[in-house]
Amino acid sequence: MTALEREDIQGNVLRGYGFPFARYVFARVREAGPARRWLAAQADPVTTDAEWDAEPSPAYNVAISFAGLQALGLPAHLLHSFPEDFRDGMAARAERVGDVGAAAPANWDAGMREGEIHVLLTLAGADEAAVVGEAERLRGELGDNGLQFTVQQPAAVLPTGREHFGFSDGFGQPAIAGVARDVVAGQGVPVRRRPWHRERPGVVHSASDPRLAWRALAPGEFVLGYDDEDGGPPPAPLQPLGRNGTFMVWRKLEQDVPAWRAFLDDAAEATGLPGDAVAAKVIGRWPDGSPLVLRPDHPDDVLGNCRARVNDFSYARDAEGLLCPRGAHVRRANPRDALSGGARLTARHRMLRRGMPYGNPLPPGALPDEGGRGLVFVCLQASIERQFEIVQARWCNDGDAFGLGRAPDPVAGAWAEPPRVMFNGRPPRFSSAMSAFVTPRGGEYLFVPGIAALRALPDLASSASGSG
Amino acid sequence: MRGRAGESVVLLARVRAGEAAAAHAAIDEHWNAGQSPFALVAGTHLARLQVLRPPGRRFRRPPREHLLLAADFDGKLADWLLALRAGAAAPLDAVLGHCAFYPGTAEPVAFVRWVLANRTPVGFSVIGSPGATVPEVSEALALRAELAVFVEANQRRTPAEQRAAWKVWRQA
Repeated sequence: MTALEREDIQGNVLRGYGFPFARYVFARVREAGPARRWLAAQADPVTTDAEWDAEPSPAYNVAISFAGLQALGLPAHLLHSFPEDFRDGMAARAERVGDVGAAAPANWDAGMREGEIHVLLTLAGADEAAVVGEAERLRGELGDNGLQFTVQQPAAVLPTGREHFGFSDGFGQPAIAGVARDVVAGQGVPVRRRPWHRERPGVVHSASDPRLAWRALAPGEFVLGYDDEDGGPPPAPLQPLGRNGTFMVWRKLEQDVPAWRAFLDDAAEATGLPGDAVAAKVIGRWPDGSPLVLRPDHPDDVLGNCRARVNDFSYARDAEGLLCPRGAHVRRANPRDALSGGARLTARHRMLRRGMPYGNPLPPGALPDEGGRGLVFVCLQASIERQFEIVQARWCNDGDAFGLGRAPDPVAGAWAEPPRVMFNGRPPRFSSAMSAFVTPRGGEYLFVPGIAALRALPDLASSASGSG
Repeated sequence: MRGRAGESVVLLARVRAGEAAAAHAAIDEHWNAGQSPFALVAGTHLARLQVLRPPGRRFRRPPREHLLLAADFDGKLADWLLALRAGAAAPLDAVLGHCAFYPGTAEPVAFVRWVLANRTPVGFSVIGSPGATVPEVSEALALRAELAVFVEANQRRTPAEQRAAWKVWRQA
């Protein structure tokens, strides 16, 4: 296997930072030449995936949309070499992923609408003041360098460590072959384990199932220029942009906490199930993170906090969804071996999730307020269409892959009519959702270039754009 | 009588030089706008039509675009192809007409022969309800939806009330 060129891959791609504070600074390109030169100069301060001598304070990363690459004056042949999904951008593909009605691009926040995002500067760190200070410094620098600040989005881990609906989040991170961190059971691809199999680098045995082992995913699923699960490199732009980069989906997802709580109350009333069980069956995990497949009747915070075991499960023994409903959110987002194509199919649709909540938490029992809150959803992958869009459109917005007809995921899915949510069991129970709990408020598809690619930007100008 | 479910076909045909954009535009015009012509062909579980650009290799000539037609359907391939030809001849010709040696749908034997010549082995296919035909799936989903309405309305009643409601529901 080709060794990963980690000093050329931006940080937060192969390994999440895990910092509690972030600020997303958006900018538009005003003058191509100065903007190209400034962005190229960011190749040095940008945080890479190489081992740190000291924790960056804050970590800093750069991503560029297709509209941004156009505005930077890249030549047509280079622009055309990018995949169609990225060239289209998020707003143009809104119907494909269910961003219609209240979620339609016309209703997105100013500065996050179609074509408005050119450059995204991400700052993340353990010290909020340092993150804010660096964001302000960069904001001041943009105007003198051919860029115009548009908006910024703060984000922070909530005091509870959970997202706004009250759930621990971010469990399903894929393990990547060649990344130093140990493969943790449940974070790669489930494979059948034979008695004579031994653990080796990139493979770990399941502690919960003697017939199960987990192997890491091929790095080409997430980083351009390396072999993916299909055995070859994924489609990528021409060099020097086609190596060590990745594609980012950035979405601001507003969460309607009062509507979510009202749904849980109504569903508990309608089904006779306890409210926490209703929530767990919709999500597929208890709020502490313990999975329903392993703990169908009660939460287990010891398991929920045990990194080695909390993901160590497959759906093979729960084909009917009696332990974890087939339409549960985590089962749709990462079906593991639950689909008829098996784990091999799921392995082609994994994403690295790097999101973080935004807004203040709404205390239990508090009345609905004006304060927006939600999740900055960030995912990274080699193919936006094959990974993010398939998961969103086919698995979250539709239930056919799981034998559920058109039933959407009530949490992450989009629907035209309120769905009737099924709580698998004997007997099964049903409850209707009345309104959407999660609404996109803006976003874009972005390219996260490798360091060498970023540095090469000034040399990539088309003759039409000049040198500025 | 139950039909046979779970047949698959993958067709990979080379697009004529310089016509990939036109093929793409034809897909957008005829297949992506409004209802897909595949929906008119009874027994189609899942179908896909796409222009693919295979990854290039260093020091090799850039690869030619190919058109992918993949489908899962009930019954035999020849029957499905003829139904597709009957239901979607014009949009099919508009897209496949950009592929090398495509004979058109006017002559059914030549059309089927061309598809078979460009067919590639299917590694695995994924549909939501393998083993069931489209009518069976539709019937089951409709029944499930009706039952869900019944269950949601009656799930908190006593067993005796549920039995009474069930009798009324069955008769309705």
